[in-house]
Amino acid sequence: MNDLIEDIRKALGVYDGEKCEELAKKALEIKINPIEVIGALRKDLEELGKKFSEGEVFLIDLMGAADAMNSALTVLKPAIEEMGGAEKRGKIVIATVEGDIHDIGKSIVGSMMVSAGFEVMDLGRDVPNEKIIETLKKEKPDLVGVSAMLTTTKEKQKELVELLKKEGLREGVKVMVGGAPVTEEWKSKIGADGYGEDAVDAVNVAKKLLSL
Amino acid sequence: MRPKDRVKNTVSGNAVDRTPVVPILGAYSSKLTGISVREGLEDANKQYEAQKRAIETFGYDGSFTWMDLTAEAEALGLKRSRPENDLPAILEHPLKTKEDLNKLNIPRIEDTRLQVFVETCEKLSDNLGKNHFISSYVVGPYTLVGLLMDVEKLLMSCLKDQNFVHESLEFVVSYLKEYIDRLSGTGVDAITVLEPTASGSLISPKIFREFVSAPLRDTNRYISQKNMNPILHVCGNTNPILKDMAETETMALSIGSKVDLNNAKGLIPIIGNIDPSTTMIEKKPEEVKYLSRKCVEDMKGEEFILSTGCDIALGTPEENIKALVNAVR
Repeated sequence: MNDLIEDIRKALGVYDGEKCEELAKKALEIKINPIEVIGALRKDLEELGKKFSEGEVFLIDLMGAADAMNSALTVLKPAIEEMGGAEKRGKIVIATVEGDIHDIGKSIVGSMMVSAGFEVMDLGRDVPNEKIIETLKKEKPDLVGVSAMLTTTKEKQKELVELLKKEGLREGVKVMVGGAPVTEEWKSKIGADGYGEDAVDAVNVAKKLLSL
Repeated sequence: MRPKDRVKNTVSGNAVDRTPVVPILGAYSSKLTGISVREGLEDANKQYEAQKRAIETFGYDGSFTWMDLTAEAEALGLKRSRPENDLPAILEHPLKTKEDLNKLNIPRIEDTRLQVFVETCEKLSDNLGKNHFISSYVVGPYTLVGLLMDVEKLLMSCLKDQNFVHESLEFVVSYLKEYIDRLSGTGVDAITVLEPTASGSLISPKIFREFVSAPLRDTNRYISQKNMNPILHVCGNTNPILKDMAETETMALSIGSKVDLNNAKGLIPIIGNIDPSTTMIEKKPEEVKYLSRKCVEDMKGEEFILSTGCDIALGTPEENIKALVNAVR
């Protein structure tokens, strides 16, 4: 049965989501523990993330692997829930700020967060802070991540932190910022909790912030 | 020496009296003549007047049209935003299947907003081209397919639906050639191909070789055949693909600030790479001058044109642009 896990890992390695999903179903049929499968895949993804940080693999590789992983998760996650062992890694709301239509970085962060086990709500791009606040009130996530790709739009991240304070919501949620013009310095300046330099870093920082 | 020859000689590997300087200065010039960015992108006369004023104000060696990544996609029928004082963006990405590809038709260039750029090129060439190096921009094949499909869809298709990507690239190259035909009659010295989506920040060298190289080479070769110099601009981190970029039959590489100039030595002429954000917007003029001189010093003995790594933002202090230009004097 370990061979089957190896095959799923191989499918992940060539970014074949359909095969991942198909093999994951097979694994469940022969009663392989879905937690074991997820664990193996996640380890591969983390390995890939390390290589990405070292410049050995590229964003497109991360995207492909996360996509394949998430296909497998569509099968494996419900199975875990059925077993009564849903993993609680926290809920995250992500968005690209208002006036900014750059979507891809934020989408990949979302995809990587899902792979890492978080429940992710992606509000899309060009999202007004008011809408983010409204969502936070309703969904009560553990963390909110906002992306800005332009020097002009990163101001919206600052505005969000201020708005959260004004609404008395700041204590209840961690705030992460990211995007090309965003830096660790900017994060500290505006009083956010975390800065993700890239998709891999973002996942690691989120885990740290939520003490996982 | 005429500014034009300074650039031309550098690009073709001949001697010059000093390092040429050509910042990527497009929509910024709207501020100099008091027009909106929107007006400049829709009216050739206004764009030309603004670019002329920029040359008069700063005195650099060549003039390019405004960098607008949406024009070619819009001419294929895609909707774009029309902000008053910002560059536009493509709002829809209709290419999802092969059937969608069959529905796309190459437009008559003169019926589209590309005509604004054709006419701007004519005016720049007629009035500044005697002394200055003039270039137009054309969006690169891979980036154009990314606009048509959405970048995320393009990247996933490169992994899963390769034929669809190749067929789409083939279509856009045939379209770009028609636009290049029109530009070749305007008298511009060069056409700079913009391929930001092929950046190492997004794709791997493997994907670059599989999908970007051949269509780019085809496009560059066509530009050369029409007696213009092809130049290639890719932003972001292109360290891992510099050599691949240099092997696309282009004459010079315009590179972003994330590239280590040491990696760019010994290839082909290099244009770059002052950071348009942290340096040009945030630093003081003396620091801009220092960093610019450092670039020139680092590239001593190489064919090098001092420039910014990407388009100069509207909020850039005028003094910083002067500092960049004066750094070579």
